[in-house]
Amino acid sequence: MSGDRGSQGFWSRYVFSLDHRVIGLQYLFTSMAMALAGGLLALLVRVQIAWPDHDYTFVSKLLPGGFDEGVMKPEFYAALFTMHGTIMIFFVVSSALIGGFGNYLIPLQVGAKDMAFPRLNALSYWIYALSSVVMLLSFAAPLGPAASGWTAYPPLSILKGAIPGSNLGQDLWLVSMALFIVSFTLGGLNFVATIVAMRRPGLSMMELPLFTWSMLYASILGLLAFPSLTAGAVMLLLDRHAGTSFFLPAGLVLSGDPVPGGGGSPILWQHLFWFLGHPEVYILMLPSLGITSDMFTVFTGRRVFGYKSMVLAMGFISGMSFLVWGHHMFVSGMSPFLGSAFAITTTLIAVPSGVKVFNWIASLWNRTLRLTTPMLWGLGIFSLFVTGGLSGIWLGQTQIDMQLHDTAFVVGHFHIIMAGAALFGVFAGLHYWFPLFFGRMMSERVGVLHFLLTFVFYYATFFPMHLAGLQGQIRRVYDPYQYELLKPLAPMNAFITWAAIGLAISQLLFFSNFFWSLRNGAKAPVNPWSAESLEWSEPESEEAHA
Amino acid sequence: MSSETPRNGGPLAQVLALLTLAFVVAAVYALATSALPPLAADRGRIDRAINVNLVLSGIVFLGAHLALILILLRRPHEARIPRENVGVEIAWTAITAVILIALLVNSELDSRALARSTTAPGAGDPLLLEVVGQQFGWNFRFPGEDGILGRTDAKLVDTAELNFIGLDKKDPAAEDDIVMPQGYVILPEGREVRVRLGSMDVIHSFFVAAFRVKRDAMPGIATEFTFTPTASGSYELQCAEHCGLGHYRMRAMVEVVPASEWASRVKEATQ
Repeated sequence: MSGDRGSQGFWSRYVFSLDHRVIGLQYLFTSMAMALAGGLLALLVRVQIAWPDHDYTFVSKLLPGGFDEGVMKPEFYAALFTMHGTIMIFFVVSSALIGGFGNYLIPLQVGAKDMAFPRLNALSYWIYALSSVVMLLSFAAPLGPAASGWTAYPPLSILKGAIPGSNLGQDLWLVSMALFIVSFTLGGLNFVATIVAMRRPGLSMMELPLFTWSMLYASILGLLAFPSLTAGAVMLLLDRHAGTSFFLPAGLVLSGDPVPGGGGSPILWQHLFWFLGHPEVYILMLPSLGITSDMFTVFTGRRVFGYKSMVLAMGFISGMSFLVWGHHMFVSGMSPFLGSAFAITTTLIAVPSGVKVFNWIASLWNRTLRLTTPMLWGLGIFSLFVTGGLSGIWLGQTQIDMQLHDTAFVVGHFHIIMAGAALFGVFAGLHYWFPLFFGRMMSERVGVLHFLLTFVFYYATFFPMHLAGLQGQIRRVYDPYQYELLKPLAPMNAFITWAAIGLAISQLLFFSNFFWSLRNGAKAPVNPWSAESLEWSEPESEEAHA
Repeated sequence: MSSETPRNGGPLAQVLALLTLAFVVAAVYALATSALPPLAADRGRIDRAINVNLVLSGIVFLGAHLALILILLRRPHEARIPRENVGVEIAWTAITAVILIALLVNSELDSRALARSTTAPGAGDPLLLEVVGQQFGWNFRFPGEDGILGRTDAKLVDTAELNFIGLDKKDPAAEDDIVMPQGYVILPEGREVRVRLGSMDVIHSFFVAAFRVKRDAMPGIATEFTFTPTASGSYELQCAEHCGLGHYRMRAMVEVVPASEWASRVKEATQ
């Protein structure tokens, strides 16, 4: 990759490299591998919801720990959705968008030679890699992986007898999360320092691509929000092993036996968790919003409408994202006054989101659109952002949330807005920057087909979940048909699962396009999309790197 | 790139516009014909709020996607490209804010009304009902004649004796407590129920879709809320918070009967 380090052999060049570009690609490839794991877990979840009584002898041979005579164990089901959520949110989307694109592109987009602290940067990747391994090791725990949900609410996540996953699996989960946060914090420090202090002389902040802005905001969010979960994870580990009771109230009885300890509050964890959890949602969203705006600039040949208000809107969203965490807890029994306060902040955060939608429409209106694959993903994000933003407004209203909280409606909502928009952003970025990363083009034909199929199957999978939720289907349910109320939803659940299978199969198009094009794609010109941002300018001479 | 790249107005744009249109039509049709479970409590405000949101967000959803479809189908028109205009930007920020604030105010009014007891003075006391979740069942208890729930103690829990909540039978206030068989409760139609909710072990969540009621059962924290069942019938109580491997089967039946039959039906069920 980088010329000055080229002579140092394979290991220092591709494995223990300090080059931000190599590190970026390491993040990308690691998160792709984690995406395969996370995606397979989701398919197992969906298959179980749709056909809970089915005999899965074939699958049970592959995963003997999770099945009992061909029938999935409920604790395994809980582990599946727990690990799916954790892996996808942190180890796939966060690390692909921030670790992958951020590392590769921030120095190029600000005209810096490398990150401010290259060694710290390499360290942050390796800690991330380690945390990924620890997270996957959770599957090897004797009683199975963590199974208390990606939110790990205590006492379920503390009491070893509460669910088999709350043994070694939960410890590994907590250690992995703590490591991940360390990695993310180191990365964030580096990004902020690079963007603020290492811009090419003469390049002002207001000339940066919106993607760079989104990285700056996301890094600051990570720096300020993630430590609260580090604290939470340590406290939870202490509750589990050192006999403390941060999150354990007195007088608990589990399966007829009194639980020692007491004096703490399980709701404290929810505050600590969502103080990270909600900014994290925006950490995932912001890069996608930035990428979308940049796609609209490049592929219409004019700067996005309202660049300044986009910068302001993202800044306002970022700031407000610290003040909305309580909307995850409307039905926890917290003070109604606190609920009102969080409803107000949640309403406020929707305003700049609306502004972004208007700006985007104005950015496309009457302009010539070059419908390349990355542009199509940008348009897809536009649609998802509208759909998922609107259902978010529903859930931000406390009286509606009372009915829809913890139902499939919420699952549909956040898969469309947070997971979907972020995932589409990853695809947009991979197609768009592939020529920069690898010097070749991905196939547009396959790319377009992959987009169209993903767009259709994505909505076919996640939109009907809103309907199931409205009709009362709770989430995280191993067998919905224990309830008479939910029996009529069987055909809808089967439809969703078929759509999810279609979605998964469509991704084969992406993976084959990606890996085929690595070797066989058409040679890319220096600036294949006629973009104006700095990463596409002629590479500097090799000496400049030395 | 240049000349072969598909553009708006071209075939690819038409395909995408068609898919978008198909999605929008299917989504609007599905939402418009879907229904909440039939309402069986005095909480029609939630249904009304959902309907208002359905219409408002439906308009925005249709509008934004229609704009996308038009952008895809129309040929570009250089001269009519919107120009930066602070006035317009302020205007649409303000419009968005006004609509959202209206929804917020409505939500606050609804939430306060729902939290308030609806029992008119003199119309009889609300019926106190203690609900305690445990892995994986629901325990229901009425205070009986004296209106006071007897003492409970974790040390007195005795699963073999079916004393799941650890009721202290020596406490005089406990003598007339009516403990329902686990997973089953009977409520009188038209009388306000004041639920005192708690949990023995992990977090559960009390959710009766037909009553439009959901509240987390938080260990260590007793919370209260009220509702009035308005239609006789059988309703399912779901646990809405992941509480362990049996979460999916943590179900209870809530039977609502005419107020005149309530006392005798409860007696029958507890004998």
